[in-house]
Amino acid sequence: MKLIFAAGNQVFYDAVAVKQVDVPSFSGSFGILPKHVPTLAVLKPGVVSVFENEGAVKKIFVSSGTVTINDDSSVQIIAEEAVSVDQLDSSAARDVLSKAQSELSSASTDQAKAEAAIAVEVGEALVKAVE
Amino acid sequence: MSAWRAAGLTYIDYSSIAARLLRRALKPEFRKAAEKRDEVSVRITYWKDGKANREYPMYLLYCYSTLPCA
Repeated sequence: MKLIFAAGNQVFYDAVAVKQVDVPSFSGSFGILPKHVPTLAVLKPGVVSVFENEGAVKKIFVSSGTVTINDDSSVQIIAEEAVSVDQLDSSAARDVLSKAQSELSSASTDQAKAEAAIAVEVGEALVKAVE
Repeated sequence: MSAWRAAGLTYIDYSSIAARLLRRALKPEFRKAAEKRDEVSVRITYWKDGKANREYPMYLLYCYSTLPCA
């Protein structure tokens, strides 16, 4: 199963054969194995797990983006921003969440509320990833 | 429909908020380089008769009203 995994900041896999990929998406978190039915999904902030052929499991946090599973079993993950989970800072992640929560409680317009709610969702995913 | 979609935001908005917050949650040694991507700068040059006419340096900083820039 050939995987292409790239973000605006870094290319993680360039057509590398892997065993399995788990992705967080708006249609739920799901695992991709070879011969998965062709699918398009929109990524949610969270951890993508890549099970490499040699046995290593890489955990990469994605902000958002798309995942495409093609008919030939190739998988493309394109993220706006993605980093290895070990580059995340747990206190910075908690800080993002607490700031977002206070933004949400003080937001007055619908748009401000919606933006803050997104920030809370991202903050929760970040905190979960560093725990 | 999600709340942000109902409030008129698009997935592009969602994505840029998520990307910016992810950059802020990095360990300090990675954060500095990453936060440069928060800024987008554009330089516009108008050409007239085969010559660069005037240059307008423009610096755009994309921020959301409710989320302060770092």
